[in-house]
Amino acid sequence: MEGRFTLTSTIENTVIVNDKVQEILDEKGISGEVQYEILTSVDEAFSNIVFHAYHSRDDGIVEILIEAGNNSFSVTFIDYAEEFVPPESSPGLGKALMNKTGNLGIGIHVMKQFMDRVLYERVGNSNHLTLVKKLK
Amino acid sequence: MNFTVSDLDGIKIVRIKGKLDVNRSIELETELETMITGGVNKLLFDLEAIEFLSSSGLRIFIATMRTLKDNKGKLVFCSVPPMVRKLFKIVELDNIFETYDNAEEALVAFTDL
Repeated sequence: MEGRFTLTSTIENTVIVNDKVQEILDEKGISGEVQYEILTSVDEAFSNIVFHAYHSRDDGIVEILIEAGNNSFSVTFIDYAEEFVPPESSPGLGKALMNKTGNLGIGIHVMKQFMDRVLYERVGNSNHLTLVKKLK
Repeated sequence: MNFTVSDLDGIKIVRIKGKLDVNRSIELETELETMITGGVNKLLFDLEAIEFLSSSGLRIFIATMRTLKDNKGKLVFCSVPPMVRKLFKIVELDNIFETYDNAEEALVAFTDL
C-alpha cells in the first residue's frame, strides 16, 4: 500500500499531509500510540521543510511518498531547497528550551525519539528525509 | 482545534480540544499574548481533550511559561493524556512543566502566589 503526492511548501498543507498519512494508517489498522508517534513526526518533518529548508517560501515543492508494508511504515519527504542538515540535539534539551538558546532541533529530536529510523541524504539538488516506523 | 477560556478567582483556565498542530497554534498564541499583556499571570492548561500536540504547540507552552515566570506568575497543566506526557518527557520538560491529575489539584498550586 502506498501513496505519492506533491504539495507546495505552505504551512497550511501540513493538514493535507497529516490527513493523507492518517488515511493510510487507518486503512492499515495502525492506531493508538504508534499512529500518534507517526503523525507527530510527519507534522514535524513537513513544518521543518517549510520553515528551515524553504525559509517559509510558499512556492517550494515537497514530494511525499508513503509506503505501508507489513513490517514497517515509512514516509519520505523530498524537497528542492538548499542542503539542510538537521541539527543534532543534545542532553539538557528541556533546560535549554527554557533558556531559549536558539534552534535546538526540537522537531528532529521528536522524530528520532518517535520513529525507529530517521534518514537524511542529499541527492543531486534535493533533500530526502525518510521516517521509518517498524510495525510489530 | 478549539479552546475555551474561563476565569476562576483570577486564574485563567484554558481548555484545549482537538489537534494543536503547527497550523492551529497561531490562534492560541495570539490569545495568550492578549491575556498576558492584559495582566494575566496565572494560567492553567487543561489538556484532557487534546488529541495532538506538535512542537509548535510545545514552543507556545514554553514561551508562555517563561513570560509568566518573568512576571512572577505561574503556568500549570492538568489532565495531560499519556501520549502528550510522553512528548513532555522526551523533550525533557516533564520535570520543568508542573502537571496535576485534575483541575482541582492544579488550582491548589496557585495558592502560594
